[in-house]
Amino acid sequence: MSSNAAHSVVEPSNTSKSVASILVVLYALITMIPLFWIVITGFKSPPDSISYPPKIVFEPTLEGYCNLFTTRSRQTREYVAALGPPEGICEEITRKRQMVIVGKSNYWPRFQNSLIIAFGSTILAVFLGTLTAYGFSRFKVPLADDLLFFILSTRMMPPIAVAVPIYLMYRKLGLSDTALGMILLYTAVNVSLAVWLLKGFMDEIPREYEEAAMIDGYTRLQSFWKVVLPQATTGIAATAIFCLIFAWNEYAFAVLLTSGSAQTAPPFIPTIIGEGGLDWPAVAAGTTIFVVPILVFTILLRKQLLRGITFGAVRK
Amino acid sequence: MADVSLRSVSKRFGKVSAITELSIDIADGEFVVLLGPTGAGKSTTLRLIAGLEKPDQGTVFIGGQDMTTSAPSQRDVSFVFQQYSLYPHLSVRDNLAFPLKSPAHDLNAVQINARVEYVAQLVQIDHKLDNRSTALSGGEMQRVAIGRALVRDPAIFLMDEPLSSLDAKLRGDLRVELKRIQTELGATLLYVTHDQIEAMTMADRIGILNDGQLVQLGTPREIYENPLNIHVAARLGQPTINLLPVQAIAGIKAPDLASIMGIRTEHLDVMDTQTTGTSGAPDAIGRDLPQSDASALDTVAKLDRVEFLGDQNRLHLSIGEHRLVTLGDGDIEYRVQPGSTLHVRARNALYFDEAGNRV
Repeated sequence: MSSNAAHSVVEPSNTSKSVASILVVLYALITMIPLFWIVITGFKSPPDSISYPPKIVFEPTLEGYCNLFTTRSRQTREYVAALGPPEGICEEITRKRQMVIVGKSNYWPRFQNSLIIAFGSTILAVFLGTLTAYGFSRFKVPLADDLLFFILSTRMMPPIAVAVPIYLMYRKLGLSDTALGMILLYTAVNVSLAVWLLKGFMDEIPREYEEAAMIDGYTRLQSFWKVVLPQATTGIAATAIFCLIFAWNEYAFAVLLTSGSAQTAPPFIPTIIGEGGLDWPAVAAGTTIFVVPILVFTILLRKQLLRGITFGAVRK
Repeated sequence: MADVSLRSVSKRFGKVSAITELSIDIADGEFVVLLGPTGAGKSTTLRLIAGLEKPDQGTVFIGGQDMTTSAPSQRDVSFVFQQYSLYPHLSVRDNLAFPLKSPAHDLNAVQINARVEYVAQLVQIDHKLDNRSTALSGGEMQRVAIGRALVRDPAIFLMDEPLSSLDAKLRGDLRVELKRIQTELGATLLYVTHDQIEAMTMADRIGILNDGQLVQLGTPREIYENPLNIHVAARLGQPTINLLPVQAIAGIKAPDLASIMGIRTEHLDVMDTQTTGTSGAPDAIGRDLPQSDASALDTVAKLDRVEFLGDQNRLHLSIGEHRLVTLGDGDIEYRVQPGSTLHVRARNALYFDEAGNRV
């Protein structure tokens, strides 16, 4: 904007705008430091990752990523020398450390568990939340306010407070360490958020649209499908992101209720052990890969997310 | 098209009674306007016919069939909402086609398209068929909303203040257009408004609603000339009818029970007492009407204020402590000043008893 443009009194001056921009950029950079550190640690060698003072300039290696996806065993120098030429970069790196790859690690199965459980529970929570929110928004539900408060109150409990009863319950029901159990649990936690968020969006959609559709010859369910849902997409997208972020990052329940076949990535990553303790480059590599899906999903839906966050504060 | 009847229909919302014992018959091809203030139950009546509300008691007949408990989609009615309610995610064309694509109709794409094109021309929106419905002006949106109602051939069209959110010019244009379309199609139409000009110009019959009750139903002329009570008398006419206690003008011969008289502006002749016209009689500065009228009542009034409206003036008068508003010629301010005394003659007054009913 040119400096001689007419300014409204509520419009900040150019100086304050630039100051604000610098502050925001600085803040963004500071918050990015841990993420940056994780990403570069993934490319360090184990000695570099724990050297003191910490190294910012280092020789990058894929050792962390190789270690993340494989299990290895130490062999004698003669054994390694007697092997044929290495296949692929990982074998080459491993042999330099006098080791051979003996199998695949559990990271990829755990990552798949995370995908199944997080997306499964998100779809379920958003589906139930949309129907419930529509019901509360459009029909006279007896004790609606109390019910809504009750639904929200399920989220007030810290996970650790309900962990023991849920653990016992799940063991009895055979839901311990199953993907279904985790999907149901995350759905139960997320559905309250979904109902509350979506009810706000549903309330904003004028009921005349459905009334018009019903008069135009459609049943209520058809009107909901053809008229209400297309207008609720923003709200549904925002809600889906919030639910997904929760289910994707959840740690406490995952640690308590999963150990093997249904374990998700968050409790698995810190258990990646190398020689002489935690294998930090592998942990960092696992974390970096773990961030990618949520990053992609959020970037794809960032407009809706922004609208979801500022929802209620800004009217069209 | 079909006739529609309500038989002693009542509807309450919690403690509020929206409609009480309402009965009305709308004939096939008739244009009925429901007129009343906010909260009179006009919209509720439409919604009861459409099936968007269920009556607490009474029966709704559409085309001779009892439809009281039928779903909206089974009633074969169409509805135009005050706020257009176009589906924002659809184009104008898809909005118009939406009712035809419903399970209630079995039409192929060619038939739907032909019908949409025909209606688009009727409401003069055919040049914007492929626009997004949100990218239209208010008047265009309302045309599409009316078009969406016209695209079917329903038993009855229900319109809930369809023109009230438009500006005055557009409202006038669409009013004429709507009446033209209705005549062309021979449509049965129930139209709700609080605008008396819309009611007077479009209606075959006007129903006056007040506090959930149908006070009077009749042609615009019947309602205007023969109002059953003060409320009805005050609904039509601009400026509104002047209401005075019968004692305000000395020497009148009012009926026995009359306590209030209503004088419409065209029945109030205002004459300047200072100047006299060429005939020697006082110069008429209000409406110039026959001077010799046996029922005429003469009195003296003070001119408080003149509102200049261009082609006419509104005269604010006071007779003692009672205030009146009437119309005067456009050039009246050259002849009389506020504060001056005028001669007032009232004819054809309407008399009401203490409860407000016509005597």
